[in-house]
Amino acid sequence: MLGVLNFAHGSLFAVGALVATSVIGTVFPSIPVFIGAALVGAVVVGVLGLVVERTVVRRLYRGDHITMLLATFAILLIVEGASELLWGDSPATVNQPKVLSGNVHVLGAALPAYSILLVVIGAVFAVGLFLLLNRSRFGRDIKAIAQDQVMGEAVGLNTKRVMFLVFGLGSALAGLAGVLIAPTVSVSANLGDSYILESFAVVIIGGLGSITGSLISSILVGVTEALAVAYFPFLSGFTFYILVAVVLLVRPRGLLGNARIGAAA
Amino acid sequence: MTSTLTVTGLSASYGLASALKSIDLRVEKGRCVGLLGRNGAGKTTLLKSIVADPEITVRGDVAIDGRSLRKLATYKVARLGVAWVPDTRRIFTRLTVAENLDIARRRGVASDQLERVLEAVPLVRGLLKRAGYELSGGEQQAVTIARALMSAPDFLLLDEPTEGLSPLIVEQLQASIARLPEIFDLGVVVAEQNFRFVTDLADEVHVLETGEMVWSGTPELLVSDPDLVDRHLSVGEK
Repeated sequence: MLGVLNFAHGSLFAVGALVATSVIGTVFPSIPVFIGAALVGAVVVGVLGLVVERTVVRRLYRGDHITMLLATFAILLIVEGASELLWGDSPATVNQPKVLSGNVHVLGAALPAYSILLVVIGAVFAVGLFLLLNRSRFGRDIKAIAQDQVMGEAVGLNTKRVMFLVFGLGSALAGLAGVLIAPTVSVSANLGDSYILESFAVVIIGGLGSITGSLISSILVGVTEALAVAYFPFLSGFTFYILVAVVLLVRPRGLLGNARIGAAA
Repeated sequence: MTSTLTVTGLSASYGLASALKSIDLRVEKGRCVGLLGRNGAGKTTLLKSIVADPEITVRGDVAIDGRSLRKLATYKVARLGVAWVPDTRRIFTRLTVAENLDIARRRGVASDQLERVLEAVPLVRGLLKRAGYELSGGEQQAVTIARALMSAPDFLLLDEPTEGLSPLIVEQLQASIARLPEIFDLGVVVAEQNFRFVTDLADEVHVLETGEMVWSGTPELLVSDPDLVDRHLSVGEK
């Protein structure tokens, strides 16, 4: 929404997972402890995001995308380095709550209960974000500023404050996602590296600035990769890049990227 | 209550390129001030300088009733009662017209402000549920003026409001703008190349040329002096 290509998002995601290792430790957490860890992860990473915005990103909003990309890549390296100092460089594991460790049978298939929970939480947050953007004054202000920051100021919006809060919110969500993914992966400081490229692919395919586009794109990318694993294993891990290439060739602005703004003239 | 916007010794530049030199201007509530000049004369820069557009480096002072706006961010200038309608309109195309209006409403503005605005700019009433990107140029212009009025400003800055509009729409727009100072008790500054539009509307006129104010007076005086018009405004602007 802010037009920021934020490479540091991957490292913030990893910090969320690392916070989970500190809060939960090696035990099987109860549900309340796990929820507490998720909240702590979101708050810690949200605050870290606010610091990053205030000290670096805010100075670069008016610059070009390359400068922003390089700056956020530098932040990624700094955060990863600091994370290694704090949490060490050995991979760690986090247990999910025991009650969620079994399988659920859906249409004859056994699916991990925790994976289903992740899908449900993802859907809840997607709906929440949609409502925030389309049904609240804050969302209205975000959309206005995303289109025209100077005009937003001219109608009385404190655009720096709104962008600060949006960056903090995005970071908090990255932290929350890091905590939630922690039980399913090996947690280390560079955990976010593999996810950030896939996330960029999702955003590019969906169209920059379009939450709905990203939602559709994420399902498209996920299903395509799953089909590739099942039927074309040699393409596994490449389907993101193939989809990005196809979309950029056929529809360079992405599935839903700013089509309405373009139609305004 | 009488209120005055004062511009004193204002010089402005875009980077190293000078755009305005030592401009003085005084706008009182209830009055309409016209700015005339060719393309590049500095009209837009003057309005942008008043609203503290961050692209522009400014020297001199802009004040409301003696309170300087110079060091304030653009949003603070807006909250102090200066509304700006830019030449390219710049409505928020992803918002509905109703949202475009509501976003500009300041705290403390009377709850009937929307109704008052819709009475003053009637074209907007039928557009409230439409998205910004669906509007024609004339509709966009009406919405930007209505949006500016929603903040109940003390001063309204209009930059080339007739640009790209059909003569019929211009006539309707002129009628709407003419009533604004009295209905809303605000001062209006209209920057235009449309000579007749400004001289019909304004109580006083200032002519800008290459960043300097070269003439000030009543519209009647300007209209009665063809030599002056020829000298400072191109033929097409008469």
